[in-house]
Amino acid sequence: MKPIDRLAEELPDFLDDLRSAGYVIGVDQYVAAGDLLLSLAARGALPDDPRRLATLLGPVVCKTPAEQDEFRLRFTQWVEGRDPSVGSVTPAEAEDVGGGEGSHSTGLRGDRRLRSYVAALLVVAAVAMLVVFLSVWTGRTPETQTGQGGGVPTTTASAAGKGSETIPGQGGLRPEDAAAPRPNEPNGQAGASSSASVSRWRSRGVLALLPLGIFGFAAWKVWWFVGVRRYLARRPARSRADIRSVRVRGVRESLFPRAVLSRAARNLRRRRPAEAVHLDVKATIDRSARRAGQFSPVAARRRMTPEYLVLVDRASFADHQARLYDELVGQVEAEGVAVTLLHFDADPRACDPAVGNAGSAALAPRDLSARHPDARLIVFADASVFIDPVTGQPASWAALFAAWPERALLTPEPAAFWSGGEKALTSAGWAVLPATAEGLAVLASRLNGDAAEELPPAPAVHRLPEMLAGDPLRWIDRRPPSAPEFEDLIASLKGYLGPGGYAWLAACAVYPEVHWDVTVFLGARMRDRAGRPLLRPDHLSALARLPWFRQGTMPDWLRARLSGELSVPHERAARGALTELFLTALHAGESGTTLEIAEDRPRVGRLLANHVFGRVRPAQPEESPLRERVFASFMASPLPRRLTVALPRTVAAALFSTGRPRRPDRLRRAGAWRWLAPSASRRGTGASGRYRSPLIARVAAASVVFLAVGAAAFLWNESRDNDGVGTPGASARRTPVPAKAPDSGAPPKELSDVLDKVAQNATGDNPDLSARQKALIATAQGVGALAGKASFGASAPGTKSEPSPTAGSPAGAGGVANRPPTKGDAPAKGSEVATQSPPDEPVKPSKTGPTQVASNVPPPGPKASDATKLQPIHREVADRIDEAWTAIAELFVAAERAGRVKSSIDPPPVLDILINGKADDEAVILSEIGKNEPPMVGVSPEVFGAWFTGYGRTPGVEALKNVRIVQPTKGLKEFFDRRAQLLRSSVDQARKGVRPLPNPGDDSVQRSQNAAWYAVARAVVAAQDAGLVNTSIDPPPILDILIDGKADDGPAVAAANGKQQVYVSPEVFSAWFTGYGKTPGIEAARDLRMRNPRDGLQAYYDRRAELLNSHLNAVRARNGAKGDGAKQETKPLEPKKE
Amino acid sequence: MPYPFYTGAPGAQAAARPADLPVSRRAEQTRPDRYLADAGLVDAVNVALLLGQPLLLTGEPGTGKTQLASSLAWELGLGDPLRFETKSTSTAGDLFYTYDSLARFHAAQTGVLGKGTEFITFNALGRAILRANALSAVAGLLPAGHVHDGPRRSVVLIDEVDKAPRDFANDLLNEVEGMFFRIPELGNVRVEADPSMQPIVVVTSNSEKSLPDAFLRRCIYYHIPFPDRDRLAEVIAARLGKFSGKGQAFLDDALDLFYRLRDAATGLRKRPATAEVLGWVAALRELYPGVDNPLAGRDDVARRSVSVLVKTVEDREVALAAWDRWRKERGR
Repeated sequence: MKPIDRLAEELPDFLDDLRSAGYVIGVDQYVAAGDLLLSLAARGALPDDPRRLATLLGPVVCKTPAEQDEFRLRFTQWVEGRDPSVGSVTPAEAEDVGGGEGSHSTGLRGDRRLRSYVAALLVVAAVAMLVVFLSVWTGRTPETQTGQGGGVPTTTASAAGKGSETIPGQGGLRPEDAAAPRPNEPNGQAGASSSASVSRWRSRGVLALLPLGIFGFAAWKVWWFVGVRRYLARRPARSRADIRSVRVRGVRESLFPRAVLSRAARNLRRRRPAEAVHLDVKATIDRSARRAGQFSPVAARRRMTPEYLVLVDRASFADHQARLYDELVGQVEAEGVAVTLLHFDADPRACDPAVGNAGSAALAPRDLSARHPDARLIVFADASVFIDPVTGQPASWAALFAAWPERALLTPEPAAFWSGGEKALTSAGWAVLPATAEGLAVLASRLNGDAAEELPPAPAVHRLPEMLAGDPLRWIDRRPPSAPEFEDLIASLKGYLGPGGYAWLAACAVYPEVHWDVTVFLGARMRDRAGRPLLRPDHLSALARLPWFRQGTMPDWLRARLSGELSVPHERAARGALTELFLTALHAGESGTTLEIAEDRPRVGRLLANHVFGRVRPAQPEESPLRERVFASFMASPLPRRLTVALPRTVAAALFSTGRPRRPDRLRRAGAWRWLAPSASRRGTGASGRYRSPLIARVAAASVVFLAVGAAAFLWNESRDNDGVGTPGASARRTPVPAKAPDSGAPPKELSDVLDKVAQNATGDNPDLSARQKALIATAQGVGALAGKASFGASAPGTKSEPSPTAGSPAGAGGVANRPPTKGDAPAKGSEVATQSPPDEPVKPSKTGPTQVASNVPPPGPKASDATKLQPIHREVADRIDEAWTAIAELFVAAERAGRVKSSIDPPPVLDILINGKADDEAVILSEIGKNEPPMVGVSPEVFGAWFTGYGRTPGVEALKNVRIVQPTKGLKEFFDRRAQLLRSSVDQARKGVRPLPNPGDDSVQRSQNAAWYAVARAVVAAQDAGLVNTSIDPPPILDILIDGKADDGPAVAAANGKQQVYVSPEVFSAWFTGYGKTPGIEAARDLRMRNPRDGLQAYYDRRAELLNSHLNAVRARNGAKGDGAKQETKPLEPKKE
Repeated sequence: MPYPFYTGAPGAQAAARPADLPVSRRAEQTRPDRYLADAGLVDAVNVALLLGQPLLLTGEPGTGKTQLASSLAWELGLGDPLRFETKSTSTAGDLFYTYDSLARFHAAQTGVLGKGTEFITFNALGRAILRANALSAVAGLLPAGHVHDGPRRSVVLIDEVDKAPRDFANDLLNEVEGMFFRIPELGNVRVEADPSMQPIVVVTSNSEKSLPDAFLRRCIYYHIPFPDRDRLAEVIAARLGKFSGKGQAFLDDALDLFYRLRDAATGLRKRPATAEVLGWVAALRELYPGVDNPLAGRDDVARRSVSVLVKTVEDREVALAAWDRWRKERGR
């Protein structure tokens, strides 16, 4: 069979796969693809390399830009899988078929090529190692072989002289030679006659062990490197190749009543009359005739398919409520309703431009009305998004939506609990209905003029508990609420969800991630007491409204509690359902709900995996899942724990090793023997031809086994020969050599380089050093001094006040292993982990710092170097900033009166009070510090920086030992999300000049908080308008603007790009690790570090304290609030000595 | 005539004779022989020609979707493409012809009714189908003054199909596939293209609205990606010719600044695309003749040329601020 015939024959299989992956492929595409191949063949235009067909077949089967991008990769993989003789695509070829912005196929292919190189290297190394090993094993050293060939007597033979003659020309060592003493042997007595043999064997052993060691080291490094790449490739960046879509039957069907939706879709599709632009000839003639010939034009009427513009409120990408509505809309769309679906986050005036690529700006109502002038508008959201909280009436801007005469609001609030908001919207011309399939069906009827259809009686539901509705973000905080609140929460949840819904919620807590697919599947598989599935529309609607399901995250304190609430049968059912989820995914056919499952990598051994994981984890950025405790234990723990779910090994092996999930028929054909067959023969033998063997893992494993066997045999032989000899040398050989200390304490490279420079230049003034390097040297010497103080290794004495030339250097302080442990030590599993690059030792603002600096280095502090100088605040924005500080001070005073300021730093943190309305980190620190081992506590970035610049004030807390920035998954992300939300909305208001009106129910703190945000936003706007904001994060850093009068980290960050690390403020640093970095090409973990105290952070915090304290004092003086308590809050304390 | 051509100053003297203005560079930029298609687009066009299916192009505005039709028609020797500008009120019938009912009524009332063809205006696809036939086959349908140069093929461009109601794309299916239409006003006569001369149809969309699946299935699809920096430099060179008198530093600076403005972080509501950068570079060349790098050391460049890159008042302020920051960073 010709190759083209085979390709044409197998192409439908490939198109089947595309179709199951969601491509819009009909019979036309099957025919067109075949026609295309035949036409090309008939013209002799078929490319030699079948992968070149990707750009020819792609236009036939792809219908979206995303499909077009993905198709190339899919097709290339398919071609390479079905025909192993096809090599990898070169980068140039990839460029040919890509070419646009953001093409990333080159990286994947480069990765594949790298694996091939590594595999080849391992094979060569293994062969070389085998040759050397065999030569030693057979007792033929190079010397003896030379003697044998050249007829030169061996040294041993000529020197023996004790009845053991060596025949010239034959050479070689006879067995008895092993006991012959040597002339220069220090001990030539009979009792030590075996030493010559030992020495000889030692030389052989060295010969054998040298390549063994080299190879072993190289193999280990390669293995480690590959392992690292695999772990790192699990989630971030080029994750497209690691995410596989599989299908599960029977879930979507349970979400909504099919009959109701079909009826709704039918009514929504019903064509409606519309006026045409041309004349209705007959009607015009008729009317003109009736009017005695006077021309009376009549416009034609036409019936047109109605279009729907659907806006869905989505709080996060994992928002279950939005996903529920997406599914609802998707099902009617699948039945032919013309829908354009967009999302917004709390404010419908700014919709995500999900459809189209005309730019990334949010779509305003006027944009939408221009694009969809004749559409019907349906909004899925709570009525409150349109309601002014002050007046209780529709907000003034809600009139913008009057551009759509037919508009409806489908609200998650059950009709029984509707209040003034829904009624006000009804009065304003909105059709308000419940966001259910029944509600949509009633809406469809009403749009067609049939007002008779009424809502069916809704099942009895409960109102969302006030404690969850009022402040939903409070419940995703990583810090647990107080015990009474916690109990109230649990009781409220039980009442709100009922027994079945609560069991479902608890089951969702078992899995480490709040994931729509998992939630729905668990509901479909778990049963209530009556034996009915828990997945029912009313249950799911109630569950989806909970803050954890809207925000897509559930804190561990709640997960642990809910998991504990599961009865044994329920827990077993939940775990069983999760196992079934993977099995079902594995065996599912083409139809059903799509689930996305991360592709696992073949594991080469639990021990190695854990080792690699342990090495990789500390180097990961804060937001990496590898640093998340629950996920970490999920990944590394050998047995499933309470908060983890183990993927059954058989499922994992069958599911993931193939490179993609297989269909049942292919599973059968791909028998178990395939896993043991040589990889080369296995490639392409599967039905889909897409199985890729982990070649490198097998080569590496074979090499290691070979090495282990060889080494064991060698050692066994050696010990047998040496038994009874008892020489000191032999004894020493068996003594284990002390292993080199693991390189776990290595500091960042830049610091390491500087430490080296310190060693070389500690006493001399090196003109080659830049001011910044000198400042870093000062920092490094401080670190070295700290290392000496902390008794790490043999540090030089006197480093505290007068560093010796070697203090802090690799040589003087015992090398890398003796550097301070905080720079990269792997923390204990399950504990809080250090930030990527914490600032160095806490610096006392004015007293102790300079004494640690060498004479050739500028003194630390605000004037340590040019880089640390703070520019004066821009005059044009100074007034606004001053107003902002005043408003912040007023907020602090109000919060102090309400008892909400209990901070571990003085003055207290600005961002915390702005974002949370409180600053209570001291209580958190004191409560957590006794629980954790090592006792580390996560705090906000501002508090963290303050502790390292001498503004910590809580006794018993040490910055280095105890204080860390809270992890993104433990609250930092939410903190910065809230910051972004508040800042953006405030800036929006400030730009419009709309001062927020106080809500009737707001207390004094909330009013002050709103006022402070408005003032801060005005300062930010002023700085932006003055061109002083050029930052790498969006929205910009508040503190930088308030303290420095500007935010200008953008250019420096943009210049980093992997070449040089950039030091930024704590707020910018943390924003990058919570997804608010915006400079392309920057990898936060690689390129960014938090500014060191001596490199500007100290001056930054000094100025912060000066500004805040002066404004606090002014506000207190004005308010007459000079009580002792207030004074205590801001009384500057002496920086604590570390 | 020296620059500036127009001063807007009070008391300016009116020219005694029409001013000698420069020839528009626009025509030069859009010359079809200077169009540079990427490899994927070339393949997509060839597949569409091979299978005889419409080619649907998407991509950011300004990436050359419309230009492709001109380039294709030029390279195949089919003259200028026949273009249909889709409107929000367009119907599928508008693709073929429009009938002036008012004129017909007027004619009926004045008693000068002819054979009826004088009220018909054939549009892009209708003209292409007529052109695919010999004159003798369609002579009875042609209005007075209609020049028929068939039989031959044509390239038909249906621009921005997503502007029209959803029914437009659905109604288009059968007509485009069958390449025929009927004229009820002329006795429901059926006009069909000779199969060997069927028009080549290129449809463009800005993806503002999704298109029906059935329509998508009938089309060959290609999304023109926004070119990366190197490719954009090639496009500029191809469209504008070599930079006589301008060095590589100018092109580097221009592209650097352009991608800065395009960056989402800059915050422009309407990001400039290929067409804008072409116009901008051409404008700089005209505004600063003989200057190697107009972007270096001049304060007025931004004010004078930013309007070529951005189109709204809000974007202008944002772009000027970003431009200023760029100058400071680069020391320009």
